[in-house]
Parts: sequence; structure tokens; C-alpha cells
Amino acid sequence: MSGSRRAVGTGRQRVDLLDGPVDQRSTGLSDIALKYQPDPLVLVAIASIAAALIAVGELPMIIRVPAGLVGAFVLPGYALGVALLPASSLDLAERCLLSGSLSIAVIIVAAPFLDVAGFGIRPGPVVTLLTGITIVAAAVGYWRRSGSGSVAREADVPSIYATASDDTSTRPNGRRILTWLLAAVLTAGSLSILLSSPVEPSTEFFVLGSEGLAESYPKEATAGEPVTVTVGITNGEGETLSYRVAAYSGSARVSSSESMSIESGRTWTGRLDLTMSSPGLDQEVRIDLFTGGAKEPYRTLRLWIDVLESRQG
Amino acid sequence: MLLGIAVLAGIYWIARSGGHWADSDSSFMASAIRAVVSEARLIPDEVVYPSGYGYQVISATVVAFTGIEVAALQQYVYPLLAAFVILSAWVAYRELLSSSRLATIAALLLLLVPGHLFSLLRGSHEPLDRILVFATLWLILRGIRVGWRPSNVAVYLGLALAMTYALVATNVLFGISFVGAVGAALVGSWVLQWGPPTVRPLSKEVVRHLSWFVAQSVLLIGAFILFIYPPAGFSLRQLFTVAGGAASAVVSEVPDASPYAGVLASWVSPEVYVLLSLGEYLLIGGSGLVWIWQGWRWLRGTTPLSLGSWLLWLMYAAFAAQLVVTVLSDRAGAVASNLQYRTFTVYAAIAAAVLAQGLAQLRAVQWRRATVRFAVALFAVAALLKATNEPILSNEWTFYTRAEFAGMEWTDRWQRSSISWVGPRTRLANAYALEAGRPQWFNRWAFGEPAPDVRAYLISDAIRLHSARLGVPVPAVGPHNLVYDSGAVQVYRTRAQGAFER
Repeated sequence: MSGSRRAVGTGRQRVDLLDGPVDQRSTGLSDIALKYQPDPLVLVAIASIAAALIAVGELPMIIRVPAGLVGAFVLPGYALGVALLPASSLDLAERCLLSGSLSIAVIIVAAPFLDVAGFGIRPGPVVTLLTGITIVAAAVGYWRRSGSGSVAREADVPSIYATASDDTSTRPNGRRILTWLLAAVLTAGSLSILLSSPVEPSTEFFVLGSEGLAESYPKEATAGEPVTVTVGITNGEGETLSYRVAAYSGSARVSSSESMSIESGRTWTGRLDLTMSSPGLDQEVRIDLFTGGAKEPYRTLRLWIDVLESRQG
Repeated sequence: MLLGIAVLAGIYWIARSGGHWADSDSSFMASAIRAVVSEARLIPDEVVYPSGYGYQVISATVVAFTGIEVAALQQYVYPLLAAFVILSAWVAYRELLSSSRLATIAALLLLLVPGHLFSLLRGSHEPLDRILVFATLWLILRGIRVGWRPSNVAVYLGLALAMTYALVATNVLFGISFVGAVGAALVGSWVLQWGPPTVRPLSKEVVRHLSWFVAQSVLLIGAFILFIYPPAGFSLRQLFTVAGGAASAVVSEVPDASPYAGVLASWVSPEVYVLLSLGEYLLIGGSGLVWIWQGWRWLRGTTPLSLGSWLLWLMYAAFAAQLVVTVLSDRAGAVASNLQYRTFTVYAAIAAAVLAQGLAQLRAVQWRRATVRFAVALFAVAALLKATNEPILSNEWTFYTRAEFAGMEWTDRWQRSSISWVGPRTRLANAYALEAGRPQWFNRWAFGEPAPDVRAYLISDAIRLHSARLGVPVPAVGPHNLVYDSGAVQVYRTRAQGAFER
């Protein structure tokens, strides 16, 4: 019954469902029906190639992330585990531990070789190496399994080593599979909600100095003569909005802009000439941002400027 | 059920901050990962993590396969790895304790200990370390158990060595700690071959099977430090500092570095800290009692249940000794006075299995079951609140807002060679390091008491609240130019003084 995926036998004679043949003598109809099912190791090799192709393709993250995690952290360890321990009595939990930890170990052991060989820790060599290891290990596992033709058993164990006092099996049954599926769905659902949760709408309003940076702001100005600053607006509100900028020194308007429409996600920058009429030290110049036809400012900036008497004055 | 709880803990960790969390270690590791990804080398020029390359390489592999950004990997993917750690723990415990029931209790205990839970949920090498420790333990014991066939034992112990190398390469200090503990168990067993008759056979078996493993592991550690990853020599020197610190704390009067003063100040009150830490106290006290009880019974003629439980008992002693040494060295101020938190997490992984054996002896009658479940729920909630640094109770906030990060991005983009103040603690500096890396254009972040050379102040609602909680004033920004406003965040730039200041 080569290729059967049912667990037969009890105790240590039972074999992981994913490990394939467990009883060579059985010839029932159900066995014939299962005869042509692909070997899990063939599926592993195919999945590994698929994960590699997905890794190099420009596919959405919702496909790349799970496929990549399986390709990197499950398949290499699983294939190697089956190649090294083709039919030992590992149950599902043990096989999971071996798959994950062995995948991790393989990457860490292989990394210095990639480094020394000059390939570097780059996506191409890393994906190629792991996919290659997976396919070769799957082939070895397949060969060992079919070559031996029988299930290798662990030796009878004296009581000094293990005294299983209760059920130690984690072979998949309906309840466990359902639990694992629920956990996976819960995780994926929660993460999807988190990652797709809308960003809090916001508009960023800023002013830059004479060199187009957040420095070199005007320290001094002459009454009646303009000083120039750059103002910027980034619309993060999720919709196109119209904005207007006005600057005040005290109650006197010293500058204003036309109303402008900015699409969501876009940044607009423009020059603003500030012309203070009355001299005085430490004058507060308020630069207000208005949305739509609002009378109250949506955002406010502030510059401190010493305004000197005009030369004519 | 265990996996479900672990997954829920991971989801809660992510959801509590909306995915916007950062701590100093996770931020540094993010920088180290980016350096490996960008330079494609094991030892990059920009940022080198001296204790090992494993975590960075594993992360670079995930990035290669998935295309995910490093920050998303750290903030969203790794917290969910806790579930796999718990699965690994359960398998190893089952092999050690020969019981699914005991393994389930022990793995559950791991989730109730906040210090351990924290180490599993954040984006650092520790979850990987733990997986590799559990896998190695399982492979060693399984290898011994199926040891009649030389080919089998070779495969299992070979795999165990591969896991040990991966552990050493991920964090050489954890690797040395683990191999040291197994080595101590070996030495203890060697001595106890002439000890009480009840433990002699087991001691002989341990000596017979572990000598080869320990010898090979020591060689691996040497090869790793000398040839494969020379930066690890720095970590080795730190280890000597720990030993020296502990020795000086014992034999002489050293200034007490008061490692606990900062811990207590990190919570709204000492009482809250004690309540949230109950899981840790239970683990330390309970496992210690069980360990003494087991040793006493074996001395009085009872034979240990199995080789696994004997090995566990020996390793508990070794990890407890390491914990004591680091507590002493922290008092002397060695290695940032926080090494005991690292050794505690490994100790906790072994102590949980020891305590589980004791708890299983308590016969739960029907009326007590509800009480036990209620207590477990309380411990779980307390562990989660402490592990996540719940901002209602903790003064060490680890969350940040999208608006704060956007304000920092703007500050970094539009300034040159400027120092910007970003809060009373490292919270936002960590956040920026995790999400974006180092500031550009020779800019720097400052926190705490503002220095005179600070040129910009980033003020947010969260910073105001955090300052109020800590009882420190928000810097006076009235005299400065307000140059950025996003509603929730403002950036103030100091006015230029003199002719040459910009």
C-alpha cells in the first residue's frame, strides 16, 4: 500500500500520517482508492519550488508572506527530517518541532558558506539554496523510504529512559486539526484587520527656512519689506481637500495664499512672503492653515521675528 | 488550547499598540537585520550584533522569501512565533517528564511568567534561542531513548549538535549558558556515580551519553568564536566581566549598582509591580521547593522517575546557579546591570518543568478546579499586562503613534546635523530605530533632560502624558519657532543665536 496516508498500528509502531506507508500487507479497496495519491514528499518538493517562484515574483503580500514562511521555515526542515528519520515514530507535534527547528538550523549553518563562497546573504542565493536543499532532501527521503520498503522502528526502550505515564500521542484527529485551523484563522483574521485598519486622518502643515530646510528661519525682517519662507501641506485625510494659508502678526494679516486643492497622499509646497508693517522685537508671526471655507484655523505654525525699522523710516 | 493562548497573547501584544511598539533590543536587532540585508554579509560594516548572526540571517531569509519589511517582521510576525516556542516547549517537556499532562502544565506555566512571556513576544533572538534549546533537549533525550541502534543515535545527536551550533550562532552567551548547564549536569552525574544508589544508574547513563555531546559542543563554541564569527569574542569578554563582577560582589565590598531601583520606578507603584510579578515568584519559590523535595526523596531511597527527570533536576541546579551568579554580577554593575533578566528566562524554561511535577502532585478535587482555573486566568492576565508594559500601569511605555513617527520622519528629513529632543525616555528613539533605522544627515535623537545643544523639540499628546506620569516637566517651547503641526504632534525649532547658527 505504498503511499497510504493512514496511521496503522499502535504505540511506537504507528507512523506519522505524513510519513507514508505503514502496512505493506494491506490490500483493501480503500487502499486501492488511495494508491494514486501523490507522496507527501513530492508535494513538499512542488511546494518548495512554488514558494521559491512566489518569492521572486511580484505577488501580493497576502500570498507571499504565508508561502514564504512555509518555504523558509517548514519545508526544508520537514524534508530533511524525513530524509534523516524516514520512518521513525515521530508524531505530529514532534514532526512540527523538527521541521521548524531544523529549517532554522539549516539556514544558520548554511549562512557562513554562502558568505565565504561570495554569494552573500542575498535573496537569490538564499532562496535557491533552501529550495535546493528541500528538493534534494525530499528525493533522499523518498529513496530511503521506497528503498527500505519497511518501516524502521525504534528499539524497545527500557523503563529507565521513558516511562510514558499517559497518552503522549499528538496524532492528528478531527478536534486537533480543527483547533489548529481555528488558531490559524484567528491569527490571520486578526492580523488582516490590524494591517488593513485605516490610518488616522491627518494633515501635516510645516514651514521651511530660506535654504528649504527646517533651519535658517528668518530672525530679522525690515518693516515693509517681505521675507520669504516655504510652507508645505501634506494631505493625509483620505480625500481631496481645499486648503488656504494666511499669516498674521498680531491682528494684522501679513500674507495669504489662494485656496488650493490637494489630493490625499500628496504634498504641496509653496513660497510665502511675509511683510510686517510695524517694527518691534520678538514679533510673533502666526501662520494659519484653513480647510474649505472654515473660519477657524485647522493647523497653526509660529515664527519669532525681530522687525527692524525700514531704512526709509 | 496552549497554542490558542500563545496565539492570543501574540495578537494582544500586537493589537494593544496597533502594531506600533518598540523596545531597545528589538530596535537594535532591527538595525542589525537591515545591515545584513543591505550589505548581504554575515559581518556587516554598519551594525554588528556581537553575540551572533543567527537571528539576522533568519530574518534576512524571511525578507528574501516574503519581501516583508524588517519593521513589519519585527512588529507583526515575530510576536506570533511565541506559539511555536510553546509547541517546542511542550514536546521537549513531554520527553523530559514522560507525560503529556505534565508537559501541558509546564508549557502553560511558561505563559504565566511575565519575564519569560516578554522575551517570547518581542522581536529579539530569544524566541529562536528557546526553540533551539527545546529542540536540542528533545533530540538529546530522544537520541538516548532510541540509543540501541548506532545509526539512530548518530542522527539524533548529530541533529542536536546542529541545533546547538544554531543556538551558539544566534547568541553565543545563551549557547555557552546552555552547554555549560548540560556540562554541569554531566559533571554532577559523574560525581554522583558514587552517590546514593537511587541515582547511580541514571548518573552513569548521563555520563555515557552526554560526554560526547558536551565535548563536541565546546569545540563548536570555540570554532564559532575563533574562526566563524570573531565579533563574538566581545561577548566572551563580557562573560568574564560577569564572572569577575560576581566574584567581587562575594569577596569584597563593591558599590551596589541597585539594579532594582530602576525596575520599581518603572511601574506606577511597587505594589503593582509585585502583583504583576506573582507568576515569577511562584515559579522561583515553587520550583525551588519541588527541587529540594525531589532531591530529598531520592536521597531517602526513591528512584527518579526517568532519565529525563534526573537530567532536568541537574540542569535546574545549573541554571539556578547561573541566575545567582548574574544577580551578584548585576549588583556589581557588570554588563548594564540587567543580565539576570536574560538568565532568568532560560532558568524559567527549566523551572516550569520542575514546578509542573510538584503541581501535578496536588490532587485537584472538584471544588478546587474552578479556583485553579480562576487563578490561572489571573496569572495569565497579570503576565500579559506586565509583559506588554501596559501603559496604564507601567511607566516604561513601548507604544508610539503613527503621527509621532510621521513627525520624526519630517524632523529627520528636513534638518541637518541637528539634535532633536523626542521625549522623556527612549520610547520614540526606539520606535524610529525599529521602523526606519538610524537618523540621516548626521541628525541625532535626544531624550531625558534636554541638553543645551538640542535644536528641535518634538512634542505630542503621548509625550505630555508620559512626562506627567513620570513627574517631569515638558520642555518650555514658548520661545521657539513652531515649524511643524499635524494636530497630534508639533515640532519646535530653537531660534538661531548669533551669526553662524542656522
